[in-house]
Amino acid sequence: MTDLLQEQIEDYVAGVMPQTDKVSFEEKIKSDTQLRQQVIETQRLREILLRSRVFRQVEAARAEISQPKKGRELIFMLGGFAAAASILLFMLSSPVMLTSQEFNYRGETTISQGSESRLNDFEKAKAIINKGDNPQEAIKILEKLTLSPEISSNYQRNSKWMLVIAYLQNDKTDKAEEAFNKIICEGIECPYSTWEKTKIKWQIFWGKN
Amino acid sequence: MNFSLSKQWNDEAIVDGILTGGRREHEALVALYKKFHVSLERFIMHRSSGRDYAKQPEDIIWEAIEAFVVNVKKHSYTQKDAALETYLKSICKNLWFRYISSEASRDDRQTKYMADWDELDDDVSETLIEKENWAYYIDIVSKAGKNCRQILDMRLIDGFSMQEISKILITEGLFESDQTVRNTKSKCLKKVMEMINVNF
Repeated sequence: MTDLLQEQIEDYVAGVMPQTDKVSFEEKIKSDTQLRQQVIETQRLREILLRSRVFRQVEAARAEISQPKKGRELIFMLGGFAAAASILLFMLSSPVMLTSQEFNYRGETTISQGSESRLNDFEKAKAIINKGDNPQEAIKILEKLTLSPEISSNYQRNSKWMLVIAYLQNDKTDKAEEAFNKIICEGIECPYSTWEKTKIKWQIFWGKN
Repeated sequence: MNFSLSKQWNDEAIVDGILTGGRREHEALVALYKKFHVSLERFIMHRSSGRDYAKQPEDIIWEAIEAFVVNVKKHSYTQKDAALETYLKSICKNLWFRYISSEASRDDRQTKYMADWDELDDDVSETLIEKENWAYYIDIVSKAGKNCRQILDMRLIDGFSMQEISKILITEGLFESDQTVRNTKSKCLKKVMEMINVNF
């Protein structure tokens, strides 16, 4: 087959043959079996190429539709984790506030002068810590109180707990850790909740690193 | 969002975009999917028996889009035929029934789906039968080299002359001369034709 004929077949199949040439070419196809076969085969190839191109285009569109979705899911997931982690860190890093507790003074209806003085010191330290502006003063009071053999174990534990917070307010992480490790308690006798304990541990860890 | 999408991409704009090709075609396909996938998915789900199939409605929708694009390119779909959504639903219905009937037992098919099957549009049905056969040949063509496929695409689909093809490919730096482009096309055409004719 000549190059010219091949070109004619391709022009005809691609639909770019001029109308005048097309009429005479179609006459030729009718009379020439071999040419007709060539045209049919080229038409078949064109069909395959067309479908192949459509297939690629559709796959590309599908990929674009599904890709951002996956990306968005990942962003939402990571964003969710980041938000949860930020909230948790914020909560863990916020200062520990002392919850008011009722103490039983061993059933005594009257309190001795010494006990009253210690009680006043305890309440004073508590107020300072809750205010958070002079931890040094609270430390001074509480260091004395925790060493006093006169006070009950319950008061001692609470004093040590307050001392831990005061140390942290004063950026004395090592001392806070030391004081915290000295609090020996179980269950409801502990002066702190599990959440407060976690917060203090986190703040000690964060302060040390 | 949906309002602006349907305003910008009406049926006519989608068909025009597909016929334009390239980037515009890509955008038209994405718009087509976004515009109709919810209603098509609902349409398919409504016709499923609640069984868990390997093929999902999503796959059917994309197959329907592919069949539709082929019809547009071959000018066998005109907007006079039907609204685009109705046309796509018709293809989806055919594909879905064809798929589930191949999965389900003959009895099941007869009792559940034959009533609908009888109503199928003959023209669309033919298109789908062809699709399965073409997949094999598309695979053959995809194995031909990239340059080979590009030249044949430009010549037989886009209708460029050999001079125009040479000019484009030489400008892109893919070929050095007009003669190398022509030689590549001849070899490529011969090879692909042989591969197809052996298997057809």
